[in-house]
Amino acid sequence: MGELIVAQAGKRAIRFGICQRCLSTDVRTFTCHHGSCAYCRNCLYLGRVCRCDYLEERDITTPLETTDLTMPFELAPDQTRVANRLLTWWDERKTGLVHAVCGAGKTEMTFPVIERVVNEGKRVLIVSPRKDVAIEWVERLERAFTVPVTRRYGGGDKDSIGMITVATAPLLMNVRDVFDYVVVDESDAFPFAFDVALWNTIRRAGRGVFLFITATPTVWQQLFPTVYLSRRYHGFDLPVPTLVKQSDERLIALCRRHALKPRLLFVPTKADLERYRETLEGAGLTCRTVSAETEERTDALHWLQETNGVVLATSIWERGMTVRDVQVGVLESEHRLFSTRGLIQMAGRAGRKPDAPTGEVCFFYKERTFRQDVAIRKIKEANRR
Amino acid sequence: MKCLLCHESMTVPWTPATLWRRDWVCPSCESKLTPLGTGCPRCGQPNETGETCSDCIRWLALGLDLIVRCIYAYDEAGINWLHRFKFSGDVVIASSVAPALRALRSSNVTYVPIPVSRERLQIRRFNQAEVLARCIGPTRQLLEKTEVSSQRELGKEGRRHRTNPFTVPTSVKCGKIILVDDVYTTGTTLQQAAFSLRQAGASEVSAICLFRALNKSKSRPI
Repeated sequence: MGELIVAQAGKRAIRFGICQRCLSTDVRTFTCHHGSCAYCRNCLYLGRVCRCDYLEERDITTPLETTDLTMPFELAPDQTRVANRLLTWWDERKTGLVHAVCGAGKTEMTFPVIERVVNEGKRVLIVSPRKDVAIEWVERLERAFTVPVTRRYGGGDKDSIGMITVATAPLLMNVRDVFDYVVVDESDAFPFAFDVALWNTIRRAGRGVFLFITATPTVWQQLFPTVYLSRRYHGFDLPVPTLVKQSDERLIALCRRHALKPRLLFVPTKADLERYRETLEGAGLTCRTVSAETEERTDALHWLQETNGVVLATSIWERGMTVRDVQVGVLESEHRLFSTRGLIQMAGRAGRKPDAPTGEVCFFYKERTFRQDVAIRKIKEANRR
Repeated sequence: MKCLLCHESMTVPWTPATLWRRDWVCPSCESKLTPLGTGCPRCGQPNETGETCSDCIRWLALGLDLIVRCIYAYDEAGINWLHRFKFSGDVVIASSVAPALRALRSSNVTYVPIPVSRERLQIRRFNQAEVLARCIGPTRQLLEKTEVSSQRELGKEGRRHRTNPFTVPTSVKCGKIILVDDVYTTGTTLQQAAFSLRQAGASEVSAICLFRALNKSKSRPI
């Protein structure tokens, strides 16, 4: 119970070829100062552990504090219903799933339960798939809560644990049984959904009570008690994507049609970014590209918002970003990297603000796939519900 | 198969040796490090004509003739690679430069890595030069480095013309010796080590260095 720290005494850091901190078997031998030894490659970013190191489990010593909550806005009746359900789940210590459409105000709905957990003297963890999303959580939490929010992600302080901790999953490798309430945001996003090891790190960090929040839950997550919220907080429908046969003229026509609004185009791979940028720049449109390697992603987000430009993005931006009045196009939407969930999330980027509640979403296709159809059907279903 | 450096999945060519080889590096990671072109024959400092550079002429004037073969330029990618290898402690990525190092192997040669001091070894847990030397061929630790703390007491002037920290505890009987180090910046370290070895009786000393810090580059050597 606590944090694993490399120390002089304790249990061996690597036993039987398994790193005891991250439980991976990517352990390599090398010559240490005393002779043959082994180190773990999987958790190098937490500081290297060697077989000759020892891990000590140290209790968390940060003081327990209480907090006050000032809601950024009054919750709508639907949101209050969800928030109350979360409170009863916490009282029963049950794991649950919030299945809410994109832009339903999922962040704010968890604030009452976070407040109650903190005031009971328990620690809360918020796991997000990416740093961008984590930063947005921190900003919103700091505005609402009086207790300091700890940032445990790359760029924040990586080895601190407070009452409310916002973290990305890989930095929780060395935490065991600390957090009484774990909010897994975007719980079907890329790292969690496909990597059982990453889910296991979160499970080890928590004490058994989880809350999954997503617009597109996996089948496994749907087995938990679920609360639905199928209406955005401003009450408008989700924009339904239109299917358009892909051609350069139609792509440029989409960009021209909304010349005064920010336009966001999703492409499947990094190689496509350059290809489509040349196409668009040939048509006289200035655009920026965003991929996982782009370092100034928040900068590009501000640029998109302020100059109403065109941004080509890979699926790195499919979640957790909000731009006012953005128009979305998905290029090559039949690509195997665009899953149904990804398509729904990308369509959900449009119309997220109450003063611009609609937007155009285009799925450009070269081939029709079931994934496109299922995504559109799911969005329509959510609108009907 | 996953790339050793970027962990992206990659396809590997099929040969019988595929079964035997464990670490693969994808072509995009392989092309990140820039090999040195034509340059000074003694230190690898790039120039068009391939003449001996002024720094090496200065060493020659002191009577120190040491041929250092450098492989890669110490640019941005080199700094990142070395930082990962040396300071993050990812020892196995040495195998990504091992083919380039092994190409310099010659017979009847003892490879001598530049040692690190005992205190540094306690912290870093390994000698980066020794790992590189083992990639090339048979190594023997002939040198010994005295404690660094004695250097701290020296003044600025004394540090610039710093005293030779290398000693050779045993008498050298092997004929040809090649020193191995990771970065060549001014060459002082290698020249001092070669001087100690020659005094102890080594007949022929040269050196291999993985990176050559470029004098013109703004990047600070680590």
